[in-house]
Amino acid sequence: MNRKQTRLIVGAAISAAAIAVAVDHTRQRLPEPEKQLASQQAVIIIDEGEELPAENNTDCGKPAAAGRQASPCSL
Amino acid sequence: MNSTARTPVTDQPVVLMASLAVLGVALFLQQSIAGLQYLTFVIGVGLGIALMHAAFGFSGSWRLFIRERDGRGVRAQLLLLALTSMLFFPVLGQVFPSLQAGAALAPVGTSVIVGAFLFGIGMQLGGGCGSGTLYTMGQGQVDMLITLSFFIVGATLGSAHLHWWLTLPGYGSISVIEQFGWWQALLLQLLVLTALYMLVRFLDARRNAKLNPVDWQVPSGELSQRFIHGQWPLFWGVVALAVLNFATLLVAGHPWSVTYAFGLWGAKLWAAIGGDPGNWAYWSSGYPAQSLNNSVLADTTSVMDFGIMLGALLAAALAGKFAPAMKLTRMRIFTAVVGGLLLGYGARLSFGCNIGALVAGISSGSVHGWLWLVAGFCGGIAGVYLRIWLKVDKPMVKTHEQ
Repeated sequence: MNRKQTRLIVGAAISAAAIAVAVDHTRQRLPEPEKQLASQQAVIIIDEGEELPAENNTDCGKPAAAGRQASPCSL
Repeated sequence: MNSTARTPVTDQPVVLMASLAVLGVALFLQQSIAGLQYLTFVIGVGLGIALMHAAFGFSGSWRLFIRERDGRGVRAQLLLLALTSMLFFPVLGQVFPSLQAGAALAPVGTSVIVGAFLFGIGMQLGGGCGSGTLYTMGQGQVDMLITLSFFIVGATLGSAHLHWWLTLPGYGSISVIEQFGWWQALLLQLLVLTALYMLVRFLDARRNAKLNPVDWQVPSGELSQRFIHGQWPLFWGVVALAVLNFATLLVAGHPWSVTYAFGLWGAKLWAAIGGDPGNWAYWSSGYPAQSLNNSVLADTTSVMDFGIMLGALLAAALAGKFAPAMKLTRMRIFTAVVGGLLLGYGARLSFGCNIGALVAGISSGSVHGWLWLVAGFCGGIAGVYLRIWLKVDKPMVKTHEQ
């Protein structure tokens, strides 16, 4: 594969990705800034003795418990 | 040091397009999304430039150490962990109460061990880790486009299965900062990292006549040229990645992570073609559910990943290394596919990749990061032998040491 072919493929991939992002952005809503910031800060915090998310069948999507930062599993 | 000045060969049209793309995206994010996404995008661009110009990778360094005991890259990674820890621990230890940030804590359990091991194999087959895949993709390596595509597939599959893996034996998260206090934990961690550094150095010196240093100097007269066009000394990469990771912690409130975005992109693509990932346990509540239903540009990890790829593209063009010619063999396609799947699946199970789990975890004082390191490196060893079995690499040369 010569350099011109490589550039064509990469250019096409970047263009497709940009279109996909644009489509997603126009189809989805934007979150409220405060809500989005609060939920994305920190990551999984599962203290000793507490149930693992799976035991509640909620996994990483478990809503944040009172007094803890959110657990978005966003690593 | 005498100058060995080389004429930089820039790909000017690509530099122009990449610069305009960076500016355009940054402005759009600032105006239409939020300052947070704008800042994390800019940090991502910086990370991409640093990764590309310093050629800072984990996969190749691990393979070089496993095969030849050349520990230069591994020692650079240990320096990165040490420097990042020194920056993170005081903040996470609440020394500065006005700086609120969350640690990368995750459960210590079976999913981390299995996931990191699979990721380690995937690193060797796929040709890159989390950050490595992004920056080589940004550089325009076509085979890494395949790896990234299947990385996304693997991460999406992993998100579908994670709830089962979490039912297997494990503990909760363990934070050394919470257990010992921040400075005591930092001291302990630096001691462990120093011991590892000395071990790597010892093994290197035992096998090789000359120890390759983690260089930091450039020939006189080449400072600005190297800074703009690359090649950076490896230590510059260490410092840049540590500082930018710290910036991410302060700006976004969490350490730099990479692979969450891949699962998100895959889930969104699956939804776009008729699937319903919103019914999967992983995507059904909390931040994952929120990000699935929001614009991808609202997700800081995604925005940072876009920044990394664009930054790497810009850096590659400045260095004249964009979209290199390559021979794409059937075996390379096969390893890219399998490697990508293992990378994605493993990253989801182990709560991140070399960046999100290894660097972020260890630098946050999370024990799961150390578990990831051990399991991931074991997977790397398995991956190196797999490459030999598949005849991608020649067998290792036995020495008197072995």
